[in-house]
Amino acid sequence: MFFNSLHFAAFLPIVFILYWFVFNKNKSWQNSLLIVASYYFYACWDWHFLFLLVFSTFLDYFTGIMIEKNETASKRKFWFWLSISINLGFLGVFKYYNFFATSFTELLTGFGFKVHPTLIEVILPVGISFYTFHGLSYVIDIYYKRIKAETNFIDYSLFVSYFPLLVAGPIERATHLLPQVKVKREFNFEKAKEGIHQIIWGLVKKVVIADSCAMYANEVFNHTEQMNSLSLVLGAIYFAFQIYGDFSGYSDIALGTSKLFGIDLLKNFNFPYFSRDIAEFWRRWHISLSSWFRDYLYIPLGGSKGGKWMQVRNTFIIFLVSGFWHGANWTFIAWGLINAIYFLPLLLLNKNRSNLEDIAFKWNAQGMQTILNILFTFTITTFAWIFFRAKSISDALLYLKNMFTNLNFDIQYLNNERYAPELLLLIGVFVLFEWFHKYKTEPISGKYENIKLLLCIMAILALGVFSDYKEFIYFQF
Amino acid sequence: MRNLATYILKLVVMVVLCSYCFDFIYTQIHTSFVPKTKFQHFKALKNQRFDYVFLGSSRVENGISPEIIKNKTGKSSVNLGFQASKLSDVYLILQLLDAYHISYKKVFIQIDYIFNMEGGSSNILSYEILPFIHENEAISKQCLFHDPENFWCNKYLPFYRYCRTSQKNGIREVVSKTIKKKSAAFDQLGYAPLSGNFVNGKFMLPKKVASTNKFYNEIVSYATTHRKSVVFFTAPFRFVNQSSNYIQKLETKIPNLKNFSNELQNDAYFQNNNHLNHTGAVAFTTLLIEKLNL
Repeated sequence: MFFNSLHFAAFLPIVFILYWFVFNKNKSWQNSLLIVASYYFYACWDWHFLFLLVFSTFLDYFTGIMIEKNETASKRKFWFWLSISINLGFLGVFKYYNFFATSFTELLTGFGFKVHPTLIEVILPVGISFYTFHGLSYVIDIYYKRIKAETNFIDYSLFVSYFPLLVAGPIERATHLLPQVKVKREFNFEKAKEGIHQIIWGLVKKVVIADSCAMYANEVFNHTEQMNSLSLVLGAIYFAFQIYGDFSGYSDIALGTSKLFGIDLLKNFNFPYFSRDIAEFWRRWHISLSSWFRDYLYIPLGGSKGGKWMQVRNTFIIFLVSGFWHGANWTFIAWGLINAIYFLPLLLLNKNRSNLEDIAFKWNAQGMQTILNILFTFTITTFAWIFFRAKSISDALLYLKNMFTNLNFDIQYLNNERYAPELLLLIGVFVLFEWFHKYKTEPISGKYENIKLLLCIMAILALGVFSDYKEFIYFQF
Repeated sequence: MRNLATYILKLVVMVVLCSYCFDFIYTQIHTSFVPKTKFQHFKALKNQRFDYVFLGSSRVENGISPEIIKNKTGKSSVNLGFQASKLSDVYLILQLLDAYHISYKKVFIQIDYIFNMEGGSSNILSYEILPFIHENEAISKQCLFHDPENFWCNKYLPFYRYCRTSQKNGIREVVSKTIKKKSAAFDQLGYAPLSGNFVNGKFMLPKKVASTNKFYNEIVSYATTHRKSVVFFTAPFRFVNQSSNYIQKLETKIPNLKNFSNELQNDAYFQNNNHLNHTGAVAFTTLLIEKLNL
């Protein structure tokens, strides 16, 4: 069930009405309904994998209690590692087994050995990376005594399987979400209205921006050899906006949907393409994942407490793991590595936290410098996205080679019967719209609310792509 | 909660009003503005007279030139082959010829392995007819046949059909029609020449012929009822795998089928195994003139 489908358009109002009018007696009723709705939502993808979600919930619920109950360090450690290894084991088998098997085979073949690995033919359970990380953070927090284990199974189940965040995040923390599900939610009109606005704005990002960009980006990336330099540059820009519109649009819909049920989720995007350096970009892009890796990997590894060498090592580990989290392909690892390399100069010059304050643009030399920094950051980010999007490292290198050697900047007519640059106007309008609303959760509320609402509805209807491309990119992770 | 209900009602009203307005505007533009798609060009032929009409798939569209027929015989004709057409699409066009008062002396219908594809219809033509779903019962039926799942929504939900086919009937098409951007879709009376020569291997026809095709029967019945002169023919293939004898078997189903499947065997005539290039189209049209006494 996609957020941008008629199925969801029917599902959401039904759950909403049941939630506020039938199951509103107490929080247990509310939570029970949301769990049933969440399992139904997940089963619509593939009911076969529902057992994984249920098992993961049981595992972390039970091990969390056992870790807390046991006083001795060795027993706590046992339950802790049991949970970690089973969680990562599932992730490893479903997501990474084939990758390791084929990579290992290729390596051995390179040394002259003949190996025929057994590959498993299984599709990746949707959302496994997300709900596994929910569970992991919960168990780690209990182990380090940051939180108490949740004893109410219904409340804990909802924390893991809450449908707005189930398949593509944001990756929630027990400290943020559990306190909200432990109290009865009361209806708040302003919050619900903000949620609806966020859903509408998320749809604009998804069906108008991301899916339109996808049509062009796919055409360019799938026919790299026929493309000239201009089209290849545009293809990379289109993909940058596709993945932003797709994932941040999804997050907006998730956050907005959750607000309808009185629950706030973690903010996942904060206008990342307005970042002035790559460190700021990573504080604004997929915030829940970046902060997860910061808290559960970077800091345990020593964070920035050690010397420079330690910081550099930890930074590279974080980015490589982050890349690998996205998928079992060398392209994602290369993407992580490139971002680590971008990060390195800032780290060495102690400038990785120099753009913490909001962007205050003025028409003066400093303002121009800000714009140039934003453009530079966007350019290098887009360059890295080429590796993220390409099917293989060699495809990415071919893309770059053609981009820099073709040097033909004629406007190309693509196979999908469109001129390569014609989407730039739409992207330009979108960027300006975001720029003028960059301090807000969603751009619709406030002055001229009705006009902006009407414009968004008109944009979704007239400019949206509804036919061929529905899937969200991050569902595959 | 009452506030929310009012607010949602406002949203719904906005969506419904926008949908109705867009539907009206888009349909008007698709109907009244300069023709862009081949189907719109076909509609624009209303009340015209032709000596010959050619119907079929891309094997007609890319293979028969009405201009050559005009030059060699002085007779008028129109090529109404649509890409990926099956017999259901052919039947639709045959009915619409009458609905649009396009008169003709003889209609030539290309038929080959599409006889086996009773359940199929052309995606391209289906996109092109969708804006006119309310205009004609035959179009409506074809929309139902092509996409039964979405038929109700396509027909009764305002703007739904434009949303679903936004890549073909969406804002881009509407804007280009509004600014009267010229379309080359009908520059040669429906003939769309192909260039190049990418032949490869053998073209495999099916081993068996379907026992029947309901749209073939409909076409024959329609032609009989409306006293239309219909000639069925098979356009050339580059190198048919003769072992299947498909065309010979087809001839048993279709009496008087004019078989040109093996008439052109020079690779230079073909763009690919089952489509003629421009050189081939010239040769084939000349052959048709000669063999069919056009």
